[in-house]
Amino acid sequence: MPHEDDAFPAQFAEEVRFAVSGPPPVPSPALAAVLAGGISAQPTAVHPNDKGDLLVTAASNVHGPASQAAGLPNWRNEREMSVSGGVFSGLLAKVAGIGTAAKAALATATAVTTIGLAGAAAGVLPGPAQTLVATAVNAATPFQLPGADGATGGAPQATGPLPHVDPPAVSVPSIPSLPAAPPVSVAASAKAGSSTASAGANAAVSPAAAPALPTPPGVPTLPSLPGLPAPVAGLVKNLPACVTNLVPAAGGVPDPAKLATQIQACIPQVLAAANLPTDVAKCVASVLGSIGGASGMSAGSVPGIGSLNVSACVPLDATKCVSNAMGAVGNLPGLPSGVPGIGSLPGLSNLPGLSSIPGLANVAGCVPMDVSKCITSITGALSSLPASGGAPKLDLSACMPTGVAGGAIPGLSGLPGLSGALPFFGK
Amino acid sequence: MAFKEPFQRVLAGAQADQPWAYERLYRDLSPAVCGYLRLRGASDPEDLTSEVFLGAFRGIRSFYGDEAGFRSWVFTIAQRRLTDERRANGRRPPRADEDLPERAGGDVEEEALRRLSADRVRSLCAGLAPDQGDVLLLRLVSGLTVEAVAGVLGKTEGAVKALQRRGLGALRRKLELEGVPL
Repeated sequence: MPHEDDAFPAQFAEEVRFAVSGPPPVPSPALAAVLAGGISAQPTAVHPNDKGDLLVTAASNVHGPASQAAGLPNWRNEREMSVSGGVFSGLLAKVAGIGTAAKAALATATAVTTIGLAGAAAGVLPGPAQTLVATAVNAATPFQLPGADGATGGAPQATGPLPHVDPPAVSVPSIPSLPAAPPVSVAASAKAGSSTASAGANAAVSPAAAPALPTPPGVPTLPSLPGLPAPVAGLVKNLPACVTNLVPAAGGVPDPAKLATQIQACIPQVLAAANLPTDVAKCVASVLGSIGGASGMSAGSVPGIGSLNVSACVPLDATKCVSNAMGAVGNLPGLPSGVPGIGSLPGLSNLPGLSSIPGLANVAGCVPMDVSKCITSITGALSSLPASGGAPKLDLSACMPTGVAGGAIPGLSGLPGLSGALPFFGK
Repeated sequence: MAFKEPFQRVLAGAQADQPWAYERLYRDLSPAVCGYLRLRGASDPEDLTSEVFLGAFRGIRSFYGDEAGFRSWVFTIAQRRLTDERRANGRRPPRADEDLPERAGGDVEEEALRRLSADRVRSLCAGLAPDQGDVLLLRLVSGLTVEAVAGVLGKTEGAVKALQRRGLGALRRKLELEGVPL
């Protein structure tokens, strides 16, 4: 007979059993091959370091190893991979070959991107700016930023007067297995699959949003930078010196490690120039801290948005909020059960980190937003499903926290020249 | 978690390298294995689950036993993989993509609620010693007996019972502080 103390608390047992329920996980490619064809169909796995047994003992080892001339061997220092080794080395090769004017424009773009990326990662930029920056960052970097409606990887929408620039050649890593596309499309497509795959997919499907990188030498087919608008070029003189110093005016190849350090040191100065409110600055610092902590930017070590601590940025439990909203939609009278497509929107369940906001796990989750307006928006889209099975327009802007989606960040418009370059700032 | 077909038939199929048998074993056991690894903080539970089953399938010809024994064997492999990962993570800085979002399942609401439950379990287990958390979750997730859990963890039955009792005591105190009825 079991001891009374051996009984598991009912709530804990229920939570555990529910947490481990669900469908089987997606098998890795190697396991999927075994599930499909059996073990015998697989090539014999040989460890890469396994060189097999020597047929004969090497003569040099008959009497033991040779004596060391200088004592113990020197162990190679184990160093963490730095960001500079991956992306920066490629960028530097391009930077070295461009002219002074192009370098100045590049510095401007760096500054604008720095502010935009920080704000976009926080999800607090005005709608068009959020979409523009998120689309550009998603296409050009491994990072995934939310679009204007909170979803990542959205297609470009209204992007202001910036010129259309053909993208540079971006090598996209192969995507092993992307989940199938949902049967309906929303205004901004939700993030599908892992962040790595999503980044690759975004780069493939929205090339027009790729950032304007300088023309590398010897590649005549790529466009050059003179197409940048005059207001952007005029930003240079008003930016902190650390931005303009990123690229040496005299030419030459900067040290990758030095450039990485320069950029990291420059970000706080640019943020200070933007005079962000305390809450936004805290959020930005959190996001940049996560990005700065990324160890390498290769396809295998891409930090997704899941690694970003956005709890300082979003004042609500969005996971629970979406869950509640979806549950409410399912219970509305008059709607057919099992509305197609809603349950299969990829990425909605992947809102990372939001459920871990301290103290908010048990709140309804939708406090700062207009719940009824949000649900009305969703149900309105569902009720207007075309009979032909086409895609409805799902506008989730009403589901954003009140006062965040529509308003500009106070102080951001104070950055000299920014409102001229990006007209939607400050409005 | 019981197999819908006679386990011995499925086992014989797997030992004869039949893909349908592998698929059946994976489908029945992988959710629990993956769930356990996720709750114990594996950085990539899905990938680790695949490694566990690859190891199990490669060595399945040497396995003899019943369904409970097979489950215990698979969880033993999972526990050792988890231990290896913990040791490796102790030697190197944590990766920035440790919290990579998992793939979306079929039902968004279910997935969201499941994620909330997992967060809740992890927060409750955070106050326990690692061994206590292992014992409690293995008992609940795998459905193994104390004796089998002792085999999985490489401990004696008495040690597992003591860990379970202390872990449950700490858990109850935590829940009482939160006002949760026991």
